[in-house]
Amino acid sequence: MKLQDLLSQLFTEGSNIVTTDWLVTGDATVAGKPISILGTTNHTFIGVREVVVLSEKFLDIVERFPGRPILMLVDNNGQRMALDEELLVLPEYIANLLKAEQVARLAGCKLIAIVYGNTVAGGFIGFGMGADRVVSVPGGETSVMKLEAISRVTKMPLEKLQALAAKVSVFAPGSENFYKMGGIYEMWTDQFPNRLQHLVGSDISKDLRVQLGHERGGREAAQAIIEDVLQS
Amino acid sequence: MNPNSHISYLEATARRRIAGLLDPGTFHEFIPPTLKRVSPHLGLFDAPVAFDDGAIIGDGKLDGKDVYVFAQEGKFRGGSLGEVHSAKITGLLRRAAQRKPAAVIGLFDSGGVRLEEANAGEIGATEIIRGIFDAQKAGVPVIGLLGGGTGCFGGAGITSCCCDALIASEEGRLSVSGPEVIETVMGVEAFDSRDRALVWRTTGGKNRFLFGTVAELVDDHIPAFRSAVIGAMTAQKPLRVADLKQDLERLKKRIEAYGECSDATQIWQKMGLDAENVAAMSSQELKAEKEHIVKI
Amino acid sequence: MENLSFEFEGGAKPLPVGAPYVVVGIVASSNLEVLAERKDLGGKCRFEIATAAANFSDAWKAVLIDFMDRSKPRDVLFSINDFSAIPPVVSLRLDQALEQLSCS
Repeated sequence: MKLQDLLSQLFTEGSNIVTTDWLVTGDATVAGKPISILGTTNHTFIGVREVVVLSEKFLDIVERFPGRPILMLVDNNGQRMALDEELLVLPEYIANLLKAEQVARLAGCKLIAIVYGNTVAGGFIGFGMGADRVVSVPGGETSVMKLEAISRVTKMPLEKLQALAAKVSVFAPGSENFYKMGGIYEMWTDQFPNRLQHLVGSDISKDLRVQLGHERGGREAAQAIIEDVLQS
Repeated sequence: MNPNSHISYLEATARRRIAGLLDPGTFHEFIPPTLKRVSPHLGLFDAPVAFDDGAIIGDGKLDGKDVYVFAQEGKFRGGSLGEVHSAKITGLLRRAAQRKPAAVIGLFDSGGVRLEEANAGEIGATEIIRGIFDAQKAGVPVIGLLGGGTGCFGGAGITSCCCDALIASEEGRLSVSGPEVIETVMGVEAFDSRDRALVWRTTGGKNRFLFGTVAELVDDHIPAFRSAVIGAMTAQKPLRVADLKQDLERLKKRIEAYGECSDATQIWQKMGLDAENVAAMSSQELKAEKEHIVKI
Repeated sequence: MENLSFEFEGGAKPLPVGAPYVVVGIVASSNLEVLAERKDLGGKCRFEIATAAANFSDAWKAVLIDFMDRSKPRDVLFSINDFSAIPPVVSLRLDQALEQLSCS
């Protein structure tokens, strides 16, 4: 979904949003109250330079507006793949961003992520999956790895993999699969303002993903494993 | 038997590492392999399973204190995160948040998300991360060890950096994209993954130690890891905006100082080290050198 | 993957006191994991095998008979995940498993 379409459909009570070539920042009013907005666009890659900007914005929001919900708009093509990114220790940067998301949560900021474009692997882990609730809108597609690449690495013929992907949700790209696995809370097709209002007004602090994965049939084993460990 | 004999962490299985790390005979496994809680998905790919799905979890004692431990078996499907594997680790961390052991120790050895279970592994990694944060919020430090033969990549690499402290040998490797992936996607000019020296100086324990990602650099010797973990098991400060801002400044300065470098030797030179000699230095020598250098 | 199951009469001597179970080996290419568990099998030993290399039932039987003759264990369940290990490696893992199971 185009960013401008998403913004106009989401915010009917006023918003003030600035977009650069890859970064989206600002605030908006939802059910009469302000929320902060932070996101990426144009299928950006997430590398060390992007992460420090996102982290800084996060911490800035938490300091100035503790308790205010933060809407994370997600559109990325994954982590920037380069020797010099890893040389500088990219995982440490992404962890700093994840900790910023956690400190926001500790300060009472609800984190809601909306997948509206692509989202891939390390990029999704770093910015998106750290939210309390992740929702998708039409055009929002999640992916860990393309089927062609999975076929090469697992040595399973592509046609067989595609046939398998039609039956199970555990490995193939696509928001529908991620939803079945519990990774996406809701897939929104309409009524964005009402749905957002509902999330902002609810207690979304509990991590429901394992439970949802079980209820939806995508992850049949995980919930029982966790329960058994807790009772061991 | 020579008490100084070398007990390689790199060569050991995950189970052997746990046995050597903890106080003798104190390890008790949760979800033991006798329950055969195997991957429900690998059969679709006609691939063999492991009874512990490559993740061993349990409790024990370290220097007399109650600890929880998880260890990834890097030789089983690259130590990859599948549904059961990651649920075991998540369960352990959630239990730690409730029962508050002195620490959770994570022996990372993973190429990242298991492709055959890509979505489960990806979500699983982030559930583990949330588990780490919840354990830390409950006052339980989470200490990560890097020194296995598979390394610590992808979702596992990111997860490990959420720990309170990392302890690594120079054999430990840490990154998001592994060298082979970068080569496949970007070409061999971007990263020649068969150049082992390049892989080690780019992603290896020494580089990560010099940057401060890794708190302690140890020899490839299980007792050395044990001593380092005992030393690291202190109560950690709760997560605060001010501390994260400070950490972020450090990370920004790193880009400013070394962002134009295309090889680790250039970085080490800029740090004031004898760059050509770093690869040959022992961990003690490197630790001593680190005291004198520009700290960024 | 192929599943195989074998059962043999065990030796006369029970195992010395020791761990309830051990795991040796790793499910990696050309390797296998053996989970050896103390179990009341009425004096027998059972082998439950999942193997990535199909149609080797006779070879497995020969290795197991050899192992039983050599070590004569009793009341042990051996569960195996095999990733195309060759017979000498299988024998080695069985010996290692029994040795570790018998340690206190």
